[in-house]
Amino acid sequence: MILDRTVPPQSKEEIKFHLPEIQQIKTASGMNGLFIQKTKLPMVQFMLVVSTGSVLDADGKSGLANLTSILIDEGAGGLTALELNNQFELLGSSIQISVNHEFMYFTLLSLEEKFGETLALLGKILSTPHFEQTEFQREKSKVTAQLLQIKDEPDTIADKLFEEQIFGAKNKLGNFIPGKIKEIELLTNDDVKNFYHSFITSESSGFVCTGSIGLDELLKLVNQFVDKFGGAKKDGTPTLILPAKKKRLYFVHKADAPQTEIRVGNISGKRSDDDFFARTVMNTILGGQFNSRINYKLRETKGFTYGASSYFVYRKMIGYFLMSTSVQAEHTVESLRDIYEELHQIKKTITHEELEAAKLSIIRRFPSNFETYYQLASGLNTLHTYDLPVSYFDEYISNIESVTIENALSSAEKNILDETRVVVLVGDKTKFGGQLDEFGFEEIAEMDEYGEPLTTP
Amino acid sequence: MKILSLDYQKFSLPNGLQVILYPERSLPISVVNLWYNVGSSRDPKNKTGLAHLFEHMMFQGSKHVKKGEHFKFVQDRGGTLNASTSFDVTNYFEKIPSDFLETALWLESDRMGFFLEALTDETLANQIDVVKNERLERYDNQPYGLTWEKLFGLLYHQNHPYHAPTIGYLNDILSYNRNDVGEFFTRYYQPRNASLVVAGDFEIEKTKDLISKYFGELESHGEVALLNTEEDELSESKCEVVFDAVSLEKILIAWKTEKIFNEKTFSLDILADILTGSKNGRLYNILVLQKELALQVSAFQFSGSYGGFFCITATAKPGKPLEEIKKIILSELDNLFQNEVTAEELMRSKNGIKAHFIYGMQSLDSVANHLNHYNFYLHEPNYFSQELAHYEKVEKESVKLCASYFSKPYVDLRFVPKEKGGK
Repeated sequence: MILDRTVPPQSKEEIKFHLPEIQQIKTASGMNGLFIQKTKLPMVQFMLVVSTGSVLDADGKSGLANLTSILIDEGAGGLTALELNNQFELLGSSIQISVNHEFMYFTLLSLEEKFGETLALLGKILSTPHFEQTEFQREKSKVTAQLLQIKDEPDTIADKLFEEQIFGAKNKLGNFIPGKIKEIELLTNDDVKNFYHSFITSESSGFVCTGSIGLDELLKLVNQFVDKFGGAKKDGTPTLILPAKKKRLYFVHKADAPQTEIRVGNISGKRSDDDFFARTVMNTILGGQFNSRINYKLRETKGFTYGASSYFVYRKMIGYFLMSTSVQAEHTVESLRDIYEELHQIKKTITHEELEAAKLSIIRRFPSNFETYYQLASGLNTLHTYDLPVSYFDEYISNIESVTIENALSSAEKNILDETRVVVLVGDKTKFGGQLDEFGFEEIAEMDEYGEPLTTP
Repeated sequence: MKILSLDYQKFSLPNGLQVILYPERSLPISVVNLWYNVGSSRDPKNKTGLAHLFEHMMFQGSKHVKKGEHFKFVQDRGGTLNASTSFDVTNYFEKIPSDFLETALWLESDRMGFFLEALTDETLANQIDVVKNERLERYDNQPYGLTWEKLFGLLYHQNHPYHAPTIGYLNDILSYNRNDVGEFFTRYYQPRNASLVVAGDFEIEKTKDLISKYFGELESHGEVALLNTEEDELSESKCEVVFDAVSLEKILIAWKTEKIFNEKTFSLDILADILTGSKNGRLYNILVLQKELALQVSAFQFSGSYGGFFCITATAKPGKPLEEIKKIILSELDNLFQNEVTAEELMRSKNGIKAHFIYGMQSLDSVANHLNHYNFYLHEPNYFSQELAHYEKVEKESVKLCASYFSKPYVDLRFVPKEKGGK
């Protein structure tokens, strides 16, 4: 008998997922931690999170937080950079140190049996970094050389310029984390040491951990190796001054570029706003996944792009909405028109079918967010970063379920704004110049590849 | 090691489809991972990129699934999905809440059996545009974007299956027609030429029934034989300079080595790690840390069904000559083979590899993909422990034996800012 394939398979939809238990920990000195025990594999993912980042770079010293994060494990606790690296490798462990605008992350991955020794090495890095002049000179010169490559990367030029312009020059939330070449060249090793002493301290840190290790053992090791480092906490919370409300376009000319990088967005609400879940559902419909409206139109219907997506990005105090794509140069203006149309339509119409599909997609995908040790640690880090309650994941599904069409439309109205829209185009200006009147920009500026203005706005 | 030994079942349907089942029920998630024995090595002459274009077409609908619905069925059910094309294979996968495993099997079987009925000029034209964009975005409009196209082109002669890039040349991409796509499907997309892994949360007997229900009636027609290709040696070293829109100069040096899973490839992997795997890597140490000539340096062994090579690549710091970097690379290799690697270097490398085997077991889709990978190349899905054992067997002497590859002709490929004299 030939199988009838016309009817998609039905499901009973039995949800058998049980959230892992999140344990809250406080160390001897009062550092807060979050822990999920997962025993599937004998390994530990540990992340120490310091509340410091490039927003704390002093004026004229951009790139300092980044350079500090690079140099902090270039020799520590009597071990040279190579000896330290050798120790990690002999353990089969890894350490990654990264920094963003507001946080510095020390991420460890190790086998359970080697976790104590791995954490001890992190303790040396946090408490007694050497900050030798030789390493400083070398790493500084590497950073400036890397920055020379930015002008060759249209996607990086666009991302960087968008963030710089969306937050404006009066705060550092959009500053390019690696910094500006001219400012980096003036940084000294003392600047790095001062940054470390001022902002890298256990008093401004927390940690998250997932692993096969037991809670008591984890607490013992954290107390022993990373509970106390650095000096007294300094308040570095910046004030938030945003650019005046204007529709703005910034473009960078790349002669003969076959594609144009497009970024469209605006300052939006905070991560902790009440409409976060409505925003999440709305963006899933708009540009959050492959079948979303924008990708479907620009890629699958028109064939202008390899992909288009939208998302919300957050800082602690604020967030922004961003639509991002790269399109064939000759279709730049039509693509922008299509994007504007979709950003307009998402405030006007969301069908019941779209809403339910988006909600179900998010809810059904929820268990797969808890698969790898890194995913679990990242989930815990979200709670830590945005001060969310440990019940957050317990309530996640019901929060998504409760989103209505009205909530989703209203979140689009509130978070996708015409009057403060910033557009960035990186491509051949002869393909779009003189064709942008319909978008009603109040300010248009041509920038160079490093984001500096070529014309006065 | 127990955690690297998976409890799986393997069998074939009467139509030749290989099936591998690996139940792992810690989360209510299932993975469907389907490998077709066809990659860009099978692209017809003057139709480079067809295998990759075909991968795109497989998402454009089949007889019972309309255009766009494949993504929608999976994403609306909370799943994720994608596909990839390499020289040797094309791989499709869905990760989906286990209650919807049947949906993924229905979708995969529909496009395996009933793709042609939905093929239209319109969907083909749309995906040719999309692939053109992919090529422009990821290769032509990126600094060093033509690196691999150039390197493989120099290493392998024009008729070798690895000569042309998987994405295809732009003129070829624009030339595909429905006949090309139809013939490609008929030849390669059949049960006998595929292997299906289902991993995760499912009941074995029920899943066997579902696989039989959806894939059992699909017909196979004709064998797909191995390509008859001889990998020739390079008769002399080749050097090419590409003048590109880049700011920093870059060099790649590549020597032909061995095909995938040849015993020596394990030593070559460890050699790559000893050279550039970390700050303590010999080349990293001397080029980046001590002499500060390079911004980065990396080494790797590439292996496939029809060839392999070992590559070292370095990006020069501003004003630092590639020639000096190359000289040091060659001299360090010579030094390493003259004096052997140290016991500590070997231990460091092996410890890292062992740990990464364990870390790699976290993700179900990675495990499912490995089962297909081992099955494809070795006909044994559960090869995790054995592969690790190959690395553990590597000794100083086996690394030293790799020296013979490096005394042969090689490819020297350089990227230089176009201001320095390019057209």
